[in-house]
Amino acid sequence: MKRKNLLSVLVITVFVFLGLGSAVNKIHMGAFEYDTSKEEKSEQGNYIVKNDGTKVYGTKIKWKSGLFVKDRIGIDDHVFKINEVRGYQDGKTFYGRLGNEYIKRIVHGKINVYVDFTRETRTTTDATGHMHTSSYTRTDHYAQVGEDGELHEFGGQKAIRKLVADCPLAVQMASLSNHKMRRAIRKNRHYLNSIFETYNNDCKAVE
Amino acid sequence: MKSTGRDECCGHRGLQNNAVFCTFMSFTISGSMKNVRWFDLSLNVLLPLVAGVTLYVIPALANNGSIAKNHLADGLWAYAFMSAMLIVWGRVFSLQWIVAVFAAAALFEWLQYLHLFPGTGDWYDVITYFLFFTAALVFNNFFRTIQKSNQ
Repeated sequence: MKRKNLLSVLVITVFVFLGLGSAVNKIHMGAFEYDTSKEEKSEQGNYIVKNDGTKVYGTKIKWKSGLFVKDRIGIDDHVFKINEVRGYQDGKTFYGRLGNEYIKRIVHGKINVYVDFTRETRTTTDATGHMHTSSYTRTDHYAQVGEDGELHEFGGQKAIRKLVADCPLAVQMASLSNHKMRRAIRKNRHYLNSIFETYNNDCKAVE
Repeated sequence: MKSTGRDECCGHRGLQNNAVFCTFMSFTISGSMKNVRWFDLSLNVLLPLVAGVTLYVIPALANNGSIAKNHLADGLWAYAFMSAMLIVWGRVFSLQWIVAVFAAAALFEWLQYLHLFPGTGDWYDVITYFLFFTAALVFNNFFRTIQKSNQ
């Protein structure tokens, strides 16, 4: 009986790990094109967008967040709490709020796509007691439905297909095999962006 | 007279019409108990897992619509999960562990929904898991009969 209970725990553990393995973030750094230089600048200059949608225009935007600082964002002389401001436009790039930080928007439309880069450092000790430090940049992608929807992390083709489910063309673009998807991204750095842009373009192909 | 696997699975379970299937099963399960377990494990755990992985690796195989693409692989995972649990308990229902499997799957999806696990939390996934868990439970009687007939 005890052996069977142990085996049952093992079965649950193994299958949860299998489930996690299939849901792992498969969209690697560089899968999307992060360059936003093709987007248009606002004619009135930079601005911040408050939660109610009102915009405050100005030139210089600064924000601070952390354990020992007040979470504040300011545009010129106007200062607001971060939780009162849902995003800001700086030059050609829009940044949306994720928690107490702002992350870059790379696709704009009915579905907005954002990217967040986090520097991760890992320290390990080998058998001889020497410590090794390695660091890498973790890339997380988020989708937002509408201008004021919540940001939800997504990490694979399946999640993309769910997001664009009501657009057959975008679903078809997101349904390539792993091999073909890698080739499509190598050939066109903008490929994943264009899946969402197709969706945002009323399900018509974009040039 | 000791009954054979064919008698049990075909005679008592009302599968007389599927003679080919029954003959195949009786040949396959005519080995020792250990072989039956391996057969059970291969058919109900390994095969669904391999099929699910294949659907992930070769999406062209699931080109019949988004349901197959999005849910069939999850369903096969769920079927294999419940089957593995039933095989551990010798195909005898262990209510607490069956409930644990349902709870683990629901918790898994809920943690995805809360973004504490990677992936996308989705009610349709939970429904898929539960349907395939139920399928594994429904087929359990059939496989238990085969096991019994070889004891």
